[in-house]
Amino acid sequence: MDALTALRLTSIVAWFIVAVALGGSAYRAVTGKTYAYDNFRACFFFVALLMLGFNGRWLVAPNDRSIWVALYALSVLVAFFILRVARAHGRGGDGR
Amino acid sequence: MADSSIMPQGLGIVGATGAWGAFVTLLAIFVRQWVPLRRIRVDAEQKFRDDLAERVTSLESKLEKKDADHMAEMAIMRHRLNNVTACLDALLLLIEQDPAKASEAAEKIRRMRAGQLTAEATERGAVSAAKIERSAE
Repeated sequence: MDALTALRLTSIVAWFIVAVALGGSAYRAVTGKTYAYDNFRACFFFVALLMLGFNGRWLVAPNDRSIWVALYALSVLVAFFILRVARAHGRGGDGR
Repeated sequence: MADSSIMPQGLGIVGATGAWGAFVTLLAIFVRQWVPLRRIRVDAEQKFRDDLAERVTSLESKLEKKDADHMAEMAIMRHRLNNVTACLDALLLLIEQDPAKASEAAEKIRRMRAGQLTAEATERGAVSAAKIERSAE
């Protein structure tokens, strides 16, 4: 294992922890029973998924274009979701 | 970097499926949270406007009080100035009329000033009482 792979694995572990920690918020966002700032945390959850995807694809399937396509599509949607959530909280709000 | 040839080929499909699954999930959140997020924005803007209006009302009230205090202070100062001017004019007139009775004139003016000081103190006390009464409301 070279240094780059080790760093990549460290990154995966770190973002995996983030994803696990924030997965509940994403679940509540899907079900509609959100607590305060669940949508914010859902944003970070999907960013964590993107990081896991982009890091992980180098390890498990570096030549597979189908993962790239899916991850790029997901990144576009995440960007728009972040904009939507940020706009909703532009004047404060309790985050529900 | 890990060699892809030693990895199971199916992992690419699994990864892509997972990514598309996340995409669909986020799309569902997008649709599900569309109205709640809009409500958060509308409510926050409404609260922001209400808070501003409340602050403006409070500031107007404070400004009116300060204006009243200022006018009262100005009235007291104007009265004091008028009193002192009147005393000085009277003293000068008395001395001009009879310079030999200057000390008698001074005594008259001193009595006149004592009455004025009492009136000024009463006026200042009334203004202070009004301020205390208003701040207690």
